[in-house]
Amino acid sequence: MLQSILISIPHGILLGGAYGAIALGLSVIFGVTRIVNFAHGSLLMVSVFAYYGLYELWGIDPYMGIVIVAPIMFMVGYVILTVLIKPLIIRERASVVEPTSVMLITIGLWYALDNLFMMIFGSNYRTLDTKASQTNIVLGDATFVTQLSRVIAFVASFVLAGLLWFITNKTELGKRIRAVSQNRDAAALCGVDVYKTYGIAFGLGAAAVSIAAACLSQFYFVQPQIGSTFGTKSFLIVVLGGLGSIPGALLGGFIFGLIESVGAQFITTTSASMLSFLLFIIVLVVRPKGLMGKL
Amino acid sequence: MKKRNLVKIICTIITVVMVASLFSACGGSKAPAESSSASSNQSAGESKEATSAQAGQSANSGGEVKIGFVWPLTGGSATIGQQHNDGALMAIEEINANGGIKSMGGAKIVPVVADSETKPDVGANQVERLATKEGVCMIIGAYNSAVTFPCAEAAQRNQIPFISQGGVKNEITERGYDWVFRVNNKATYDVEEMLKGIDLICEENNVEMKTYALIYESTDWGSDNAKTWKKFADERGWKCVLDEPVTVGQSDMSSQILKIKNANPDVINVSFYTPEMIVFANGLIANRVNPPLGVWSVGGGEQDPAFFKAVEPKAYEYHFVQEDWDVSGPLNHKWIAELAEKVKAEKGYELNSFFAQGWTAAYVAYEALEAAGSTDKAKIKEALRNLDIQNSEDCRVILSGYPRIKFDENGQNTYSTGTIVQYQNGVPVGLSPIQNRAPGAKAIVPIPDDFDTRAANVKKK
Amino acid sequence: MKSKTAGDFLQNKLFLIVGAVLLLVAPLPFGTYEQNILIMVLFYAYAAIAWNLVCGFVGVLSLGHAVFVGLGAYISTLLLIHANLSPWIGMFIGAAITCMCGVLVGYPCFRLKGPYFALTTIALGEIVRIWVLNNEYFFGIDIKGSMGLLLPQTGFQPLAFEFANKTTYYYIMACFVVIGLIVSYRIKTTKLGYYLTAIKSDPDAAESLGIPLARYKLIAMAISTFMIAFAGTFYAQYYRYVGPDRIFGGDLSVQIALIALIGGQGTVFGPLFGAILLVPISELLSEYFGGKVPGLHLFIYGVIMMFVVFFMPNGIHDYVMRFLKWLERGFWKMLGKGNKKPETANL
Repeated sequence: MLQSILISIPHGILLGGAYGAIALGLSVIFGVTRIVNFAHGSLLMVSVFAYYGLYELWGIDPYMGIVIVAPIMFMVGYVILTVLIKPLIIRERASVVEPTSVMLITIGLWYALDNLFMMIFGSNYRTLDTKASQTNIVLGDATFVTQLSRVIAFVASFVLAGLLWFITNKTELGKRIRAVSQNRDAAALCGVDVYKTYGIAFGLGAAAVSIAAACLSQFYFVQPQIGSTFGTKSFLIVVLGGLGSIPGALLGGFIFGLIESVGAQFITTTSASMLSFLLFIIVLVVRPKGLMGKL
Repeated sequence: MKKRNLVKIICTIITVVMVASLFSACGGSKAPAESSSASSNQSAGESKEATSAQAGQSANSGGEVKIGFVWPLTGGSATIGQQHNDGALMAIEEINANGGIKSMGGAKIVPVVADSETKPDVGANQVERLATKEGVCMIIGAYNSAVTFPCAEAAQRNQIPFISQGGVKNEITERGYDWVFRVNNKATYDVEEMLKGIDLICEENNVEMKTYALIYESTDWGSDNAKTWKKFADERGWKCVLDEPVTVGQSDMSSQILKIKNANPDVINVSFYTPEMIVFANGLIANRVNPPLGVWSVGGGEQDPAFFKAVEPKAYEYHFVQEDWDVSGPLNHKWIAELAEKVKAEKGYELNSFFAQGWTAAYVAYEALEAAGSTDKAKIKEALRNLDIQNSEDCRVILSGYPRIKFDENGQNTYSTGTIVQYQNGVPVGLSPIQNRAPGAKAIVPIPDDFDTRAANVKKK
Repeated sequence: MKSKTAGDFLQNKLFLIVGAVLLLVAPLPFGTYEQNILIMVLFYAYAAIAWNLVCGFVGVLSLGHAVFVGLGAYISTLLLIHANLSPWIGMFIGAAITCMCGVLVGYPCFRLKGPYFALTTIALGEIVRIWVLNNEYFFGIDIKGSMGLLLPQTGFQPLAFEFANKTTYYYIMACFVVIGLIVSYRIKTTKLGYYLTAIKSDPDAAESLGIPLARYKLIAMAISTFMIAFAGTFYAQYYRYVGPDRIFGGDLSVQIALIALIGGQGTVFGPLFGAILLVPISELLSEYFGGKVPGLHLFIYGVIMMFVVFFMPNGIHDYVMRFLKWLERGFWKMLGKGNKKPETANL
């Protein structure tokens, strides 16, 4: 029993890494623009399909495919913000209340994207058979087994986090992003083009999730409905980890991965799932900043 | 001034759209289903008539008979619903090509398909629509038990024959609804078969069964299977060493597999649909978990061709699966082999139980219409009650492999069985019941530890 | 103290009267399918009106309100199945318990800002749904878990809220809707309504004026959850089956919220208009496209959602009201009784 608990820890951490990678994009978007993007899971799903397409049609390995897909998703994100969301923010900036219509339009986008792909691709489950997905890493006499793709996802989460951290903290663009996330109006007064920066932040978030998608596509499957689970989970992670905090997103991911993995040794999976949601609510109510949030 | 006019126009348009949508949904517009214009001009007045005196209404004229289908085409059971639909539509195509309903002068069957979205109230609304507005003479559906309950109730109330296809909950045919019939297995039959299968295999191979682990998705289908299994297993004195419900959408089952490893059961009973099955099967083989008496799957994911495409053959090698159709069909019946080719060519997936069940349900409906000779719903109900179809070499009705189709006084087809197969060298070998066993077939137990070499020569589907 | 807008509203009795007459006669010329749609319109209208009481009037966004519908449905149904208690009584018990739960939930959660509150309601919905799905017993009471609750079917038992005729169900739901509209109107035009409006438009300013935010928000929540529980009981009695996935599900929550939002949140008639627009469209889409290209009708629904949110953020309420006003003025003019001052009843 003890052995299983010990073994479930690295499983949980690997899983958490993947969750963190997916949530990073949301953290950037949420942290900078305060937009609750319900279509986050859909962007993940679209990226996964993109990699599937590249692989099936031209044999391009998803990790290579990042070079193609990430910039495209960046532009998609930028366009979504500029075309769909910006007008709503401008319209609502007069009121003191939170922009609920932005949230709502992302819900509409989520419905539309998920069902569009359902229409085009049908509901069958497909997988990518790349080397990374087929290779298993085995320790001991099958004591600990996992797919290579999961380990890569774990490493990628750190790389991605590092990249995002670098962009937001060490570049000019990063300064603008941080300024806008701290105080939109003050930043505007300083001459920052707020909406362009929002657009870039949204684009970065979409690009980040597309990189995570490259990893996910190799240990999960390709199907129009996969976005929803990860989308919701990403919110839980981002809130737990702390808004606007990149390391927080990773930390949140690890915590949820561990709850699901180690927790499942003691209680049923379904109870672990409820526990995740409960933890989320408690954190929000008691410490809305999250574990590492700065805002 | 211009802006004011524009606003006025917008206001008018919106209100008009609002009211129009209400009235057109309620009014007499006809749905452009795959039907011709023949009979569908159900105006409000006519449909009122239709609902007050159900028996004796003729749904159409001019050589066409409408049958309604309610499947989960979107939502959680989308793949399965779509495959059922494919089977039903292909069967109807064949029936029409062979001359339609001969007792009605060669009338063609026109299918009217509705999407239940895997939601009970949506399904029930669709049944209402099919029964009244579309004027179908019978309805087939709805796969998910939860959706089937209110659908059956709506059909009963509208006094229209309802053939339940796919729902396994016992109550569907135990509520005293005389308009409801069920072609497939009840949940208890399914589980009984598996356990009898285990008994049979243990007996033949001189092995003893003592412990089992249950792993299932936490939906009504999964939980129901697990509960029923437990009930019957306890009667045999078997011990449950693990009872693990899993949330749908789980991307990693290492934790659960660790638990199973610890519990060390003789048998693992699995109730998963495709996504979870893929993750689980891959995880089992990677972690080298080998219960001596095998992995017994209640179907679901392991009946979906997409599962077999998505994993390596060694992931499902030696698995016992309760198939809801006669898997050795293509081997034993020429017409099934031909059909399998056709399905592969046209639909791109292998003939499987979901397709087969859709096909069989549509054919049963056709048989009832032939016997009734009219679209009178009461006559169709009588025809269903008296239906007795024996399976034979050329019987195209029963793709699902049952020996016979005959409904008891509750509307349940008591001859519905599944087949327990074991995947040997990538091929499903029918083992139980005995009549579905190909000559010379034997179970491979205890399951060998050949993790690295099993199914090595089998090509991935 | 009747407000000016209230006075205007009462003057525009015409469309109210026409509306009431339409409501009364609507189901009569139609068959069961159309009646079913009308009942669904009223059901969603009522649920949206209840949702609107806390969300539209207070300005929070609850995306988990289905939980309260489910609670109402489960409590009254369990009382019926296990204690043979008529749902007419059971629904009040259900509503009372749901109301208490609503307040319990609101108390810690109301201090959360907009999007966080929305996320919390989603999480709560999921917790309840998963819990009911996986548990057969609640303090010894058999709740059947994932199997859902099947209601006994006997045909016609008015005392047990079971009717053979759809029209009866229609009129029951119509009564609920009318009550809902009256409650909305009364809240809006009384002190409570003004406090809520103040809280909605600027919580800080309201607080600085001495308005106890928490108390009034909780009152609104209590009324809202009390009312929406009845919708749950109705659903159970009408479909004779409740399953946790549907009745506690996120889809239902989002549907209710959308209808109120597209209709026009914070208004009296908004949710009703929203239901009249969206429910039949959704049925039509399903009818025309549902069986042919899976997902198409939901895709179009999503696009419509985006369209309305983008171009009509306050919902269709204002547009419809203006149209009705214009109709009415035209009507009076025709009768030679012109000179009615053009009003804009902001409801």
